[in-house]
Amino acid sequence: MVKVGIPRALWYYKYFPLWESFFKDLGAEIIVSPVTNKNILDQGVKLIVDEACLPVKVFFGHVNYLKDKVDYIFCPRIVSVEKKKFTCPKFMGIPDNLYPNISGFPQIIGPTINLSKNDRDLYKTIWEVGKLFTNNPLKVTLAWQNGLKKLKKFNHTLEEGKIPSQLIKLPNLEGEFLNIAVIGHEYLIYDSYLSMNILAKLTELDLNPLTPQMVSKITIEKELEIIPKRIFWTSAQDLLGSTFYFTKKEDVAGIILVSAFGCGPDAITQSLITHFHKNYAKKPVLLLTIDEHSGEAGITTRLEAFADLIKRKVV
Amino acid sequence: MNVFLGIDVGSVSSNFVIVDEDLQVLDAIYLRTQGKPLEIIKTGLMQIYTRLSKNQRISGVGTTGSGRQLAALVVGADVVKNEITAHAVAAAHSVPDVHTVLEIGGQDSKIIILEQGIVADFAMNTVCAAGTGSFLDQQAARLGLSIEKFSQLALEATNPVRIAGRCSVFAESDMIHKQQLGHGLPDIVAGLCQALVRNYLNNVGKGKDIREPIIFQGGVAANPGIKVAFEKALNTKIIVPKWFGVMGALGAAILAQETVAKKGESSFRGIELVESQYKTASFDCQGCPNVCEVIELLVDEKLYARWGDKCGKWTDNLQKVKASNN
Ligand code: SF4
Ligand code: SF4
Repeated sequence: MVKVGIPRALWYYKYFPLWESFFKDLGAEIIVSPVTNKNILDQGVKLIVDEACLPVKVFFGHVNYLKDKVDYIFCPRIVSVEKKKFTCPKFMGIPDNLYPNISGFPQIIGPTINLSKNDRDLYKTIWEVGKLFTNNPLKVTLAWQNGLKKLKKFNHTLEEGKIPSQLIKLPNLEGEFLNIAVIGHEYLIYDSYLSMNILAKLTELDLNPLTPQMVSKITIEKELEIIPKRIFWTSAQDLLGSTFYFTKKEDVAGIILVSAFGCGPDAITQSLITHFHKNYAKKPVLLLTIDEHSGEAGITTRLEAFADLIKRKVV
Repeated sequence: MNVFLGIDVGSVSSNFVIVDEDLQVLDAIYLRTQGKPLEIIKTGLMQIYTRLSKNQRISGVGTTGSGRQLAALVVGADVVKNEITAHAVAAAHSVPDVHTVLEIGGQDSKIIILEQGIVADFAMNTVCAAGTGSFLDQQAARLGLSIEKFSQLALEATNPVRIAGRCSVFAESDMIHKQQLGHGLPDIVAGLCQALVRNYLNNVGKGKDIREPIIFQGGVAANPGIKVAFEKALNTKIIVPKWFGVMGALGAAILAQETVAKKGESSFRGIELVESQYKTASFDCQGCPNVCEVIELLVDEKLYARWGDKCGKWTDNLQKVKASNN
């Protein structure tokens, strides 16, 4: 069987139900790299230029892990996933950086996805990927549609306010708890190693994390109407819109903004959030920046203090 | 008489504070941690004990600081609290209507905003040294001054020079430059104080609702030059509380009193604990690529606690070890 490696990083956290199902239906064996660990992070940091943001570095670590275990590595060039909006520029350049940086490399499946104008080309792209595995177009189409169904179900679970356990395993909260919005890229907050397990730490403090992925696209767009200018980064838009939504939601006790060190879009999102937050709703906000040197102890201290703050109690 | 002990184990210094039932400070000790938290905890406890009067009994213990968990295990603490909350508790106790707490220690700095005695916002800086006491230590050493002399000199300044101090490396070269231009030492020292305050306000204090009453605490508050620089920068009065240097420990002591009042008894292990042998050991777990450094606390050669494993493998296993020990 042909082995397709999927790095557990970046877009994986958003699209894996679709990807995994698609390649499986095409008859491929899928190998997903494990949850980020020290080794993967270290390798990524070694492989990639210093200016890269932490999540991109980690992505390279995952690719490196997979490189001699698979025939193909799936690494699409995702330019845009919706009309008139774009992903972060650092996403787009990744496929170009793979060859020079990692030696002994398997083949890349790296289709370009650009839906900024229209999605006419999407099926052509899907077929191009599919034909590596089969020459039956119907099989490819069915695989894609089946994948979409899985993705929809997954997103639906999130929109119901539940974090699917395939994404990250969190202990169940029992008894009394408060809701807290954790705003950050999915590849940051659901990566337990990279995020120093922020979500699990919160549950230990009896705080129930709500994430931007729980807010529907429609709600996000409506929330953003108060901003005079259009935001053309998909991720910034989602983070900002969901923050606005959570600020107004009565049963959300506080907001934690998690950003990655070296992330341009995050810096802009954060300043927009703090700007609009001030004259918006009064809810406590905690800013956390994650870099490869941040000590876990510092994060724990901040989270504990924040928990004290929102529970309005000390002993 | 019941007294309560607060212990703040930080990376640079460890502080011990004793308060009475009315939360008045009876004693305070400041020690250098020197990378040996276990020894310092014992030393501190013994010093506290020899200084207690006969009728005083430690009836509750609280710990805080980066070594709070370790300290709590060793002494059997009633409450373990993060340093932000502990500092806020002590600040609200010293100045009940305090709104802003500026805290600068040797290695880190924080700002805490309180509303009605409760933390409403905070920020903490642990990465950049330019807003902490170590910045002053460096520059004082560079000028060949003791830190005490340094703090006094600032007050003699007539016309502080502006030192570009975005980070300690730049500040240093700019300082040398200003020296060569012939500025007087007091003006340079005062300029350094202002640079530190600027760094702090731009960094930790950025976007925070800084309003009176403002208190300034932490080790650096011993330096009157910094207090003056804050007053100038914020154009307000700054209060330095009496126990500015041990506020974390004071907060922990206050919380200990409150906790014991609630739960009725203390889990403090008593002074006998200094007779036990405490040791920490560590090993690299090879169970997966995380290679966690797992740390073990041994009390009288028996495994007592374990931490540092990301997956819980070793901490879970500890329960079994303990059961078989007994
Ligand atoms: S959005 Fe930020 S974290 Fe994500 S890839 Fe771009 S720079 Fe990196
Ligand atoms: S303690 Fe757990 S997470 Fe850490 S290296 Fe061992 S097995 Fe891996």
